[in-house]
Amino acid sequence: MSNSLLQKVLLCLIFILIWVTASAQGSFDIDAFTDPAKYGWTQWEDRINYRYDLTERQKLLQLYEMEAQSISGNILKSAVFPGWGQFNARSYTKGQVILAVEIAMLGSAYFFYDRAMDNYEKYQNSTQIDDMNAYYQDALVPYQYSLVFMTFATVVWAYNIFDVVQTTERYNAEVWQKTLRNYYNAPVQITPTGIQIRF
Amino acid sequence: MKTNTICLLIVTLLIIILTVSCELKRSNPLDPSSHPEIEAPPRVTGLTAVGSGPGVASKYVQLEWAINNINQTDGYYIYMGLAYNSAYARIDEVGNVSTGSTITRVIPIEAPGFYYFKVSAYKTYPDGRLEGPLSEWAIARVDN
Repeated sequence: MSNSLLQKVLLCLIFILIWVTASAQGSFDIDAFTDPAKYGWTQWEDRINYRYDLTERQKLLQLYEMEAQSISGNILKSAVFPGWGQFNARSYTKGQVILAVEIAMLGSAYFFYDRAMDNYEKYQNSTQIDDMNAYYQDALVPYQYSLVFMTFATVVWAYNIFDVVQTTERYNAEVWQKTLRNYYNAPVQITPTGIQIRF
Repeated sequence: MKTNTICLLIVTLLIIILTVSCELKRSNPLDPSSHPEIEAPPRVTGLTAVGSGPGVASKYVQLEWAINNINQTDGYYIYMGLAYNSAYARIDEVGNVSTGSTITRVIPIEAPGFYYFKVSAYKTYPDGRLEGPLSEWAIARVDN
């Protein structure tokens, strides 16, 4: 492709771009954009009150963020160590129950698996047909028990992940409510921007 | 919440059914269940045991049993116990016999008393010997 043709194509593209931008600006409705009625502000005081409320909430948000917990962080903790996220979100009983059930399930699964493998090894080494069948059956039953307990452990682990999201959300909602209560009830307030005393 | 619980229960049950249906592999090279070319020797039948009478210096028990099909058996193991439901110890081995309908074996005994015997057949394969099921027990009284 020659240079002159390339320049023409480039000019066309620039022109199209300018035209699209200009036409988009032309259709922008500034009245609709600045209409305060769309926010439910029928009077000037409404707007003032909203602005005041927004400023207050922004202050509270900083206090809230200092205590609020990250959901993804708690999910990671619970995934690594079931119940840890719940402990972190101050749901101690729930965390203890999940941890205890998980340990019990994994422990039982390991116990039955170990017994199954012990009998399975005897089965592999046996040369007598009756012993062979007996050891195989003795290995199969605990092996299935171990699978059942492993399944329960997996289900409890999955529930633990599902639960930690809800627990953290509940904890954060409580933190927000507490922040609101403390802020509006306390005569002396320490905020990130300074100290405020109410009379 | 109720729907969630029901869903959780159904999923758990499905996973349990799936996992329980998983079986251990029958990996023993002599296992006829997983190796169609392997055939377990049949159970030995017609076992009898007769002990030596009173006053015999060298005490013994004479065992006799019906011979197995020669294609299914390469030899026999003899077991002895002190009660019909006790543990039995392997005490002797007999090679295959192609003539006659029975096999006779004399087992030397040191002390008088009641002795219980069982016999099993074995077949030799490249991965080892596969022993068939034990026979019914036979009792012998050895006099002083």
